[in-house]
Amino acid sequence: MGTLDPKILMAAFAALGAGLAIGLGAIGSAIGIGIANGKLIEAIARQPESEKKVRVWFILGFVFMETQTLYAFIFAILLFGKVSG
Amino acid sequence: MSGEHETINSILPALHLPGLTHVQGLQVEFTWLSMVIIIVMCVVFISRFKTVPGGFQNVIELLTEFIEGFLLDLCGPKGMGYFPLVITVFLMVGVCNYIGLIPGCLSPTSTINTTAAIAIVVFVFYQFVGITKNGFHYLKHFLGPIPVMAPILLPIEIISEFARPFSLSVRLFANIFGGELIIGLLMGLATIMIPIASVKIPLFFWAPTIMMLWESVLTAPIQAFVFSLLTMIYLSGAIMAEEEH
Repeated sequence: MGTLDPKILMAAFAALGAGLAIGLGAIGSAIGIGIANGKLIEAIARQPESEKKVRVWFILGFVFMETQTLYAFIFAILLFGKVSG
Repeated sequence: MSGEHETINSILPALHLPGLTHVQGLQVEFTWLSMVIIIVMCVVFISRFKTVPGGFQNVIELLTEFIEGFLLDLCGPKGMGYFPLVITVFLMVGVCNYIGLIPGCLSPTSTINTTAAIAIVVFVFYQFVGITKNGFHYLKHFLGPIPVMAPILLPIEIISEFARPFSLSVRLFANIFGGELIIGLLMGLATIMIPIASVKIPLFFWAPTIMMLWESVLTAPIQAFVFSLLTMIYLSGAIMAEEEH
């Protein structure tokens, strides 16, 4: 246990936290986007002329799901800045 | 560094945001460049206006009719009064996102400053529209459908109201900045040479780099469209607050 221990410990935990943040954050939105995309394709296959209407709401829903992962991504970047600092 | 950078760089360390200690780069100058591009495009469009549209005019009309369709659908026929704001947000965010793909150029929207500025403008505008158009009805919708639940619902409604500009700015920033970050990291990996049997072989990370560049090309208009679509949705919520409850 040297004199620099708290800083190294914090940097180590920050690196661990950054990895966990982006890793766990991507799981939920990937599943959600997969389900939404599946429903979109089902809807288009059932009624091809509804494609233009359904596509818009799919993009809106996709962006809302992606935003949750991006919040985790921003935290990962903030933590990664602490790794070297 | 220009004057804006000195002001921001003197404030940022005091905020103690780890990893965000100073602003580097020419984002402000590239915002001016995208403004110039949009203004020149519009001036050329107006000066060469033909009744039977040619090629360039067709593209501009396609974009404006696309946004106009959504605006009329969401805000009703009176929604066309807000069309300048929505089309400006759409074109500005779109051009800002695309500029970063030109070699040597930097996306203005790859920093939280630009995206938060646009999001705050949109937020203040639709709150102003809601208060001046509907007055008391608009502020009453924060209390919820049943007056008994007002003390519980009011903090939740206020927090979710402030979550809107936050999510608008963070969504756009993270998409564009994250794309650039991943491309930079992959290109950094592509330059590593592995010595195998005294022959240096470059790691073939060019393929994922090109894939991420392609993804940036697709992300740019989608993010611009979603920003303007959410602006229209928030505006329609502000205009039609009295029909909700």
